[in-house]
Amino acid sequence: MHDKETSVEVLLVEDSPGDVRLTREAFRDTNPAIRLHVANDGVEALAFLRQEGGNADAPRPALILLDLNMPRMDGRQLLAHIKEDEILKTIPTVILTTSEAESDIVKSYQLRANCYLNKPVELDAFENLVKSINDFWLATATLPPQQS
Amino acid sequence: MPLQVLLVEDSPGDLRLTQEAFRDVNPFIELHIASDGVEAMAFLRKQGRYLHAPRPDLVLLDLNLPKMDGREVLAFIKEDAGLKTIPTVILTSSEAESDVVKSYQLQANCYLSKPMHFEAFHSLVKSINDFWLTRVKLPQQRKGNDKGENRPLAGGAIMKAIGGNGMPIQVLLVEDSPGDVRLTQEAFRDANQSILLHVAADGVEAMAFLRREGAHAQAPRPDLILLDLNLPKMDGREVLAHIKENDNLKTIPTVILTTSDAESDIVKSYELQANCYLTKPVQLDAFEGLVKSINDFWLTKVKLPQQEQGG
Repeated sequence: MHDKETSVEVLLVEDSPGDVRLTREAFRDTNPAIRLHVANDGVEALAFLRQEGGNADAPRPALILLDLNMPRMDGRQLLAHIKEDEILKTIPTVILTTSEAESDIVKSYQLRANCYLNKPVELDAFENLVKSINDFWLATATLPPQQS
Repeated sequence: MPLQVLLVEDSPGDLRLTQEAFRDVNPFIELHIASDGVEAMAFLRKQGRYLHAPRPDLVLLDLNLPKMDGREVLAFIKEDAGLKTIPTVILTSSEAESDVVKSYQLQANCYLSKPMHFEAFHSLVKSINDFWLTRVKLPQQRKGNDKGENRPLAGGAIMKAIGGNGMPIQVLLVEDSPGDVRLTQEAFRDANQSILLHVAADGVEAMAFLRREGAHAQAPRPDLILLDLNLPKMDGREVLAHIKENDNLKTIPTVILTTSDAESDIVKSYELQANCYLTKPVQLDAFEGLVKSINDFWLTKVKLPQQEQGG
C-alpha cells in the first residue's frame, strides 16, 4: 500500500491539546486513511498551507477543520486569508468551535466558511460529530482535486 | 416554521426522487422547487409570484439547467450580500473535474455527485439531511422576514422567541403529524412569544433529545413535554414509561395530547404517571383554544421543577 495514494490529508487548526487528542482518536477510529495534521494557531496554519518555513513538504489538505478562538491569528482571520487566496480558497473549510454565538455563525458564513459545526462537550457526541464529518465530507462530498 | 430547502433542478425524475427521499427522511422540511436558474433567482429575490417566498435555509443546485445554468446562479448567490450566507450545495450528475473546481471557486459550500441508483440517491438525500439540516449550524434567517424566525434544530423545526426575563420556556412536542406540528407551533406563537418549541417526530427522537444523545447533545431540558400516543418507531406510551422511570427526567411535566379518547388509553397514561391527559380537538378553533389553555395553565400557573434538576 502506497500511503500517498490512499491517505486523506486533513488539517486541524486547534489550540486546545485536549481537543486535538480527542479529534485525533475519533478520526483514527473512524477512518484510518486520514492523516491529521495539526496547527496550533492561525499563523502556523497559514505557514502550513503556504508551505513556508519548515513546511516545504506539507501536503495540500483535502479538508480544513478550523477553531475560531486561537492565539496569535484567530480562526476568523485565518478563514479570511484562506478564502481570499486563489489557490487555497477551494479547500473546504469547516468551522468547529464551542461558540454558539449567532454573530460567530453569521460572520463565518460571510467569510465563506463551507459550514459551521458546534463542538459538543460530551465525549460520545464529539466522537459522533467527527464520524459525521468523515461520513459527509470525506465519504459523500466530492472534494476539489488535490493538485490545483 | 419548518426548514426551507430550495431545490433547483430541471429533471422531473430527479425532482420526484428528491421529494420522496426528503419526505421519508425528514417530513419537517419544506421543499421548494425551481426548474431553471431564472426561476431560482426570482425565488431568492422574491420577485413576481415569489413575493412571499421564504428565505431558504439551504439551496440544492443542479449545474446544467435551461435558461440560466447552475454556475451563473451560484455566482449570483455568492456575490449577493443578502444571499451569500445561504449554504449552497451543488447536486449534479457531472463528475467533470472542471465543474468541481469551478464550483468551489465560485464558493459553493459543497459539491455532491448525483448517484444513478435509486438507493444510493436516497441515501445521499439522507446524508444531506443528516449533515446539512441536522449537524450544521445554519445562519439565522435575516431580519426583516416575519418575526417568527426559525432556527434549525436536529430533526425538526423550532420556534424561537425570548421572553421578558430573557429565559425562554422550553417545550418539547413529540408529534409525528406535520399538520399538527404546524398548528401547535402557530397556536403557541400566538399564545406566548417566550416559548421555544422543539419537535421530535417519534419516540426514538424524543428520547434522544431528552438524553442529549447524538445530534441532540446541546438540547435543553424541556420545562414541559407534550406527547402524542401513536407515534412511529417508539410510541407515546413507551416514551412516557421511559421518562417516568428515569430519575433525571421524571420530574418534567408530561402532558398527553392525543386524538384518542379511549378509556383504556386514558387510564394507561395515568398509570404510567402522565401529568395530565388532553384530547386533541378536531376543529381548528378548539385546537387553538386548547393550546392557549395549556399555556395559561402549565406555563403560567404551574410552578415547574427547577431547570437544573439533578444535573
